[in-house]
Amino acid sequence: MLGKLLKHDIIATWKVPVALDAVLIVLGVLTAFAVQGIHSVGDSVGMSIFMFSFVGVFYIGIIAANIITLIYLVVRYYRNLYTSEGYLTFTLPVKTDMIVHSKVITGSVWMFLSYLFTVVSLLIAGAGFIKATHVTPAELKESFTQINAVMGLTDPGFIAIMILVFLITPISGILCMYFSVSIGQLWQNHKVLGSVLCIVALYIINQFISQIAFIGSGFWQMMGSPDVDAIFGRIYRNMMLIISIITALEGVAYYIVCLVINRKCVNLD
Amino acid sequence: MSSLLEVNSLTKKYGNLTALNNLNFELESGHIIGLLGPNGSGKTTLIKIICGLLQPTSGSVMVEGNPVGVESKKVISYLPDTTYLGNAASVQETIDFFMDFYEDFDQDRAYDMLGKLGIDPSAHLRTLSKGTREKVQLILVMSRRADLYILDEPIAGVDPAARDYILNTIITNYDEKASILISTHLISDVENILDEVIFLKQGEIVRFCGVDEIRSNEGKSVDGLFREVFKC
Repeated sequence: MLGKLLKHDIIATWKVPVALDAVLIVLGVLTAFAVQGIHSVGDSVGMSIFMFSFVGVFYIGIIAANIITLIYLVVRYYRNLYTSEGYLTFTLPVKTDMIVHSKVITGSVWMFLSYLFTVVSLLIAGAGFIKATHVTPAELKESFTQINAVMGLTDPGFIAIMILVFLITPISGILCMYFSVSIGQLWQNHKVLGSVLCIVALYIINQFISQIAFIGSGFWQMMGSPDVDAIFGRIYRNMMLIISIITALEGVAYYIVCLVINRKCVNLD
Repeated sequence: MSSLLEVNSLTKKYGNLTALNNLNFELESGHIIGLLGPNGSGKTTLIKIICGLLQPTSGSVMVEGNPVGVESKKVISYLPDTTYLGNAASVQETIDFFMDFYEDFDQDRAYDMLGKLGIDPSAHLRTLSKGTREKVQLILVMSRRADLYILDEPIAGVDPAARDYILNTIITNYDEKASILISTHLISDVENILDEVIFLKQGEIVRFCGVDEIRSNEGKSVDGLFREVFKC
């Protein structure tokens, strides 16, 4: 039954995330042309302002595309489960857990793709920038080598951590929102307000956790260190590892709570 | 053999308000039962608990010997008192959805009923009027070969002609071995199709008997008895 639920969830949701992913690519391509334009227009102030504005629009656009995808998926989760549509969803002859699994898998896939297309869009825009600034391959390699020396970009540990972050963040992000919506349903009245308050509370808690990760990673050691470059990569890696572990644990907790609420506490008034 | 539906000591409270108070009853197969009561008597609450949409405060519901869950949902075809279909899909896609999830869904019956009403299966639900969407929903629910149909206010808010169509659809599309539980406060419209009635008042069953029994013993119609029992 999970396969059927996934099939119908994907059919019902694919249009908006795919359209927004396409927008991301288009924005990347247009920005790549725009940054080349900045260098080709020379001293034309008006044109430069226009081109720089375009780059600003690009950044706002990629953030907006990700937020819209997230909001779209969360609204669908809310409507499908907790409004009148829930009368159909919860009377399907499937286990409630399967319904939640399907929503989480579908939401995670679309959020993951949204992140992936954001990276692709940034790479396209970045390629345009490199081309516009006439950076030679040798200069590019030199820059990479310098950054690599500090960050350890080619280090398998760093790559593994970044892949982990890239996989965990979208899943935990969507689970956080689903969790908040489900928590909101426990309110007798003002269910949406309950969800929003939960999101705000989680944001504050996550900021607090980030600060702990910041401290735990040894970030403050850098303040008095004579050779920041030598320790920056290690500290950054530690911080990303701590944050990804905490994010993963949070995701698991959100998931379990969503399952329990939908299994035991659904009350479609 | 177990009953089609068994409700045991069922209570539902919303804070201090008791919506259902210690309900006990059983339904057998092959009957059309009217769940009758004024607004706020607990009809919808009872139905939602049977369908697994509300959690009872205490007590239990068994459907063909199974607690509310996957097995009970396989045999119950539920029509809520509101539209539960998303607007984005077409009628045909909604039929495909029902086909995928309900083994007892009869696709031919659904298309036949749609054809009789002149509803285009390729039409998107958002393009249909509220009344037509409700008819599509009724067609979907009655196209299942379920053991228990639970219809919550199927004729509320529709014109008399539509009421006739809905009632006709109900009585001509259910297997006689199945049962139908119809919740309504429009007694006179459904009276002729009912075998039994449950009168629900302030969350308690005040009467559960056959329609013929009311007519022969009380010398009244169900509507007449209803007006007497629920006199303000």
